[in-house]
Amino acid sequence: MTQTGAVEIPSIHSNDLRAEPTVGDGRLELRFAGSADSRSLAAIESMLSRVHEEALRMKVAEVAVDFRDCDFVNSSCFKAFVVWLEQIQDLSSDSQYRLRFLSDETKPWQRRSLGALMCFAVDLVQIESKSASVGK
Amino acid sequence: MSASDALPQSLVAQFRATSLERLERIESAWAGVTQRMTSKEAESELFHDVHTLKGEARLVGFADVALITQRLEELLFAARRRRYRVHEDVDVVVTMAIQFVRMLLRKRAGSSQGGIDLNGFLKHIDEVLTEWPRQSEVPDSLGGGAATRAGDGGKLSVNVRQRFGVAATEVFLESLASPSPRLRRAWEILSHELAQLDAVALMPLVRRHAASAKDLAVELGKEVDVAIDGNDVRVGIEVLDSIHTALVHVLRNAVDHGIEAPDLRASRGKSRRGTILVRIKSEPESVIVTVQDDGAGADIERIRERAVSLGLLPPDTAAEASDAKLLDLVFAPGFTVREAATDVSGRGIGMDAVRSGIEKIRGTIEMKSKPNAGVTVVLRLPQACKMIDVHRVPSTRKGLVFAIPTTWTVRPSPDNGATKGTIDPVDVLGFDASNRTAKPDHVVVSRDRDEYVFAVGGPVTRSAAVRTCPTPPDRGAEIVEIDDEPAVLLRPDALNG
Repeated sequence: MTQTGAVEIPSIHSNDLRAEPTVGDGRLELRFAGSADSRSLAAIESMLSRVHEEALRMKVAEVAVDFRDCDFVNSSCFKAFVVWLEQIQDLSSDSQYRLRFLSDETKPWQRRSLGALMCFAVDLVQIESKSASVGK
Repeated sequence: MSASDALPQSLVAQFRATSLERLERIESAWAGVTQRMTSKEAESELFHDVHTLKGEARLVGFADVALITQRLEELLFAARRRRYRVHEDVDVVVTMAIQFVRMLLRKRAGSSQGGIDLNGFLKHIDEVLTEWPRQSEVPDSLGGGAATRAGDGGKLSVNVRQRFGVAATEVFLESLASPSPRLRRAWEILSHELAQLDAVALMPLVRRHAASAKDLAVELGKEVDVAIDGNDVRVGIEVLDSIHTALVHVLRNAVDHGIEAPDLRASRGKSRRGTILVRIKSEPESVIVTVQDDGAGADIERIRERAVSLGLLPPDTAAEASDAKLLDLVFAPGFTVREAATDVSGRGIGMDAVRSGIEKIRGTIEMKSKPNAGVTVVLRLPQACKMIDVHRVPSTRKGLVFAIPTTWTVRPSPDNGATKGTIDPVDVLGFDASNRTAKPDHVVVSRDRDEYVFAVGGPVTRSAAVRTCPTPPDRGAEIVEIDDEPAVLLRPDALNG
C-alpha cells in the first residue's frame, strides 16, 4: 500500500537485471540482482531519481543498497550511482542521507568499484561486506 | 615567493568551465574508443584533451585535478597499448576518474574538501594499473610514441620507469639468491632513485591554499599577507591528500582564530596587516611544511578551561599541564575553544582529522604558540613513496616475504591440502631448495575467475606496502617494502604464466 504523498518506485525486471525497492517503517532499501549494463541504464537512472525524492520526503538517515546478488554493474550504470551521490552532496548537511552498500567480498569488482565510489564522499558512503578473507 | 602571484579568480573560473567541457569530450571519446566507434582524429583529440587538462590544472594550482588526470592519462596509454580491449573494471575506473575530476572542479574554490578521499581514489587507480589483467600486448600502432613520451615535465615515461623497476627487482632477487653487499647496495640506490621519480610538486597546492586564505581574510574583514618560502620540493602522491586537508584547516584557523582584526592589532602595537608564512623545506627523510602566523597566539588558559569542561583532563592535571601538553589537545577529537560553530572553522573537529590524516601517512604535526606573537604549526611528512594494500605472505624460504595485492582474495586451502597445480612462488622465482620450510601451508589465491594454490611459510596478514620500484602489470614480481623491510610483490596471474 502506498503512503499518502509517497513517490512510487517501480521495480526493474529487464534484461539481466532485477532491482527491488523496499519502503516502510522509516526504511528505504534497494536490492539489486543480476547484471546491470547499458540496456538497464534508463531504468536505473529513473529508479535512483525516485529513490532520492522518496528519501528526502521520508527524511531517512540512510538508504541501503544491497549488491550482494549483483554480478556486475557496468561503467554507465555506475555513473548513475555517482550522479545520485552528487545529488546528495549538493544538499544542505541537514538534508543529506547516507548510502549503505551491502557487498559480497568474494566478488572483487564490488570491492573495487564500491571502494572507488566511497572515495567521492567517505562521510556519505558506507560499505558492509558479507564475508572476510584471510588476514582481514 | 608571494601568494600574490596567484591567478585572478576570473581565470580560475574560466579554467573550471573549459575543463568541464573538456571532460564531456573526454567521456564521449572514451566511450567511442572502447566501442570501436571512433576515428583516429577523435582518439588523438582524447589524448590531447587529457594532456591539456593535466597541464592547465597544474598551472592554476589544482594539484588534485592534475594528479587524477595524470593517472587517467596512464590508464589511457595502457588501454591504447591493448587497442582498447579493456576489462570492464578498467572501464569503470576510467569513467569514475572522469567523474572524480568533475566533482573536484565543481567544488567551490576554497570550500571544504571534507569527505573526499583523493588518496584512496588514487590507490584504486594504482591497483588497476598494477593489476591490469594480463593480456597480449599489441604494438602501439594507433597513436605512436606512447612508450617513449616524456610523461611529466621532462620526467621519464611510465614505461621507462617500469623497465628500471624490472632491473631493480632482478638486482634484489639476485642479491637474495647470491648474498652480496655490493648487489644489496646497488638495489638500495636503484630503489631510492626510482621512488624519487614518482614524486609530485608541492608548490602548486600550497599556492592554491595561500590564495584561498587571502580570500577568506577579505571575507572576514582582516588584512592578511600570505607568503611562501622555500623551493618546490616534491612529495609522494600518497601524502598530497593529507597535506591538502592539513593546509585547509591550518590556514583557516590562522586567518579565523589567529590573526586579529586590524584595529585590535593596531591597539596591540602591531601592524594592521597580519602575516602568515608558509615555509617548505626538504630534509633527507622528511619534507617539513611550517605555517606561522603573527597573530594573538593560542589562548592557553582558555584551552585549559575547555580541557576540563570537555572532560579531556581532570582539573588538577589541567592546572599543572604544560603549554605543550595543552596545545596538543587542540588535535583531540571534538576539541574547540569556541562554544558555537562558525562557518569558517566549524567546531574544531578538523584538527583531529588533520592529525589522523598526517599520522596515516607516517607524518607528524605539532603546534607551538607565543602570546601576542602567533602560532606555528609544523608538519613533518615522509619523503615520496607509493602505498598499496597487500596480503603479507611468509614464503617457504626463510627470510623471504611475499606480498599479494588485496585485489586478490587469499583464503586457507581446504584441509591445508596441496593440489596437483600447487605453486611455490619461491620455485617460480628460481631460488634453490635450501633454507626451506619443512611443512608448508597452502592458501587459495583468487580473483574473479583466476584461482591458484600457493605453498606458503606461515599465516597471512593484511598490511600496507610501499612500492619502491613499480614494474609493469605483466611482470610476476616487483619489490615493495613492508614495515621498512623488502618483500616480493607477486602478481599471481603473471607469475603463473
